[in-house]
Amino acid sequence: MSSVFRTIDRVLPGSTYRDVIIVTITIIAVALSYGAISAVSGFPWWQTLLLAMFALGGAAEFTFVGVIAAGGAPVLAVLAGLLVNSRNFAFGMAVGPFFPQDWRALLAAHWINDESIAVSRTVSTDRARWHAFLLMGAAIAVMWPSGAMVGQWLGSVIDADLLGLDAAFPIILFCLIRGDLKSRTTLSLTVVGILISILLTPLLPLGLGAVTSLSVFVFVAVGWSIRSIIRKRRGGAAQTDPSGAGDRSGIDDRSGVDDRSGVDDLDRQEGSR
Amino acid sequence: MSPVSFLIALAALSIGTYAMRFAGVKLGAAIATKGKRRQLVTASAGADGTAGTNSTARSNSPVELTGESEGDSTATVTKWMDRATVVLIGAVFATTAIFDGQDIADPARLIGVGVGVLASILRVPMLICVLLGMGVCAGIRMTGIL
Repeated sequence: MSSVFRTIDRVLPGSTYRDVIIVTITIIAVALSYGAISAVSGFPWWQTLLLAMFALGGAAEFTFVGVIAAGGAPVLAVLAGLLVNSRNFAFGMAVGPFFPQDWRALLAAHWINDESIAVSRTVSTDRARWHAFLLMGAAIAVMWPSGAMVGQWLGSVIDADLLGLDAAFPIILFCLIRGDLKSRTTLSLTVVGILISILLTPLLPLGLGAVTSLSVFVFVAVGWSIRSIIRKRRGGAAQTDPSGAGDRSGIDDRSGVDDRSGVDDLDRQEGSR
Repeated sequence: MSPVSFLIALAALSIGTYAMRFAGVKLGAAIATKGKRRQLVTASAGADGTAGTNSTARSNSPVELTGESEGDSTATVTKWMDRATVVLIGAVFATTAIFDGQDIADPARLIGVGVGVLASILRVPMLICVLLGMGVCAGIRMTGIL
């Protein structure tokens, strides 16, 4: 048993444990407010608990409770919750590469949420990512429903607004991606994506806003296709080698190398906006 | 809500969410595996081409280059999926910071988040950023300025 912990020690840096603890504390605080809101909205404790255990996605549950409390039909609440949780599909794609493809993936998939993904990204090897994901995922899987229960019990005693809890969650998310934003490309893409999602949030159904940020990649893809079409025309005219393989590989080579410079081009264009 | 309609709604939300999570995992793993396999195949094809009789300098390099660029393209796909994750988390950050549902949140939260984000940019440790942001937000609300 101790050898398991020693292995985990070597795989994960100390800063990951610290991050997990800080995020967990924040999650507990948010869970308390979720439980309180749920209680005040009239949900019995077992409904709060089941929702927390089986949906395991804070934003979706807040949305679900919010729609019901506002008098919406259950089907609307479900749809809203599913929309909010739709980003977990993209998150799933991000972690798929380092998930062991056996029964563990079945359980681990349930633990995919904003925080477990964000924390897993702070380390670099696949094995470390898996461990970091598990650690954060397990912490949330345990503390989120527990915190919700305590919050339900404390009920209207907790005034989340007064404690400033709603500011904590966004700050945590920013802190977890701050390192990635050092890259100019990532920063520009994120800024544009954020602008898109902010502009669209008031217009779209609740919960869909964040996912629309991914449309920024559609523009990137369009830009690339245009660029490769232009190159193919130039490449086809310049190449004397009649073999199709020569042409294709020449273009692949150039697009492979130009990937970095192409990205910098985008960077410069977006930076000048 | 009646218990029955709650349980149905819960099942729908849970199963739907899990399906999205799991589908994403499977798709991401498939992309990664396909990329690795392609790398192995073209690497061995490149080795065969060197030994083959009709290997000219030109027919060698296209295969090797293709192998490299397809290996590159797996790394590229992963890199871009990674970027997509950052963009998505960024969007969740921004929308939860600024909006309360579909209305704009009160100034206390906006300022609180702004302070926390600024602290983070200034390399303040995460826990302090959070406490600072919460404190500013709560402070503004309690004292009633703004």
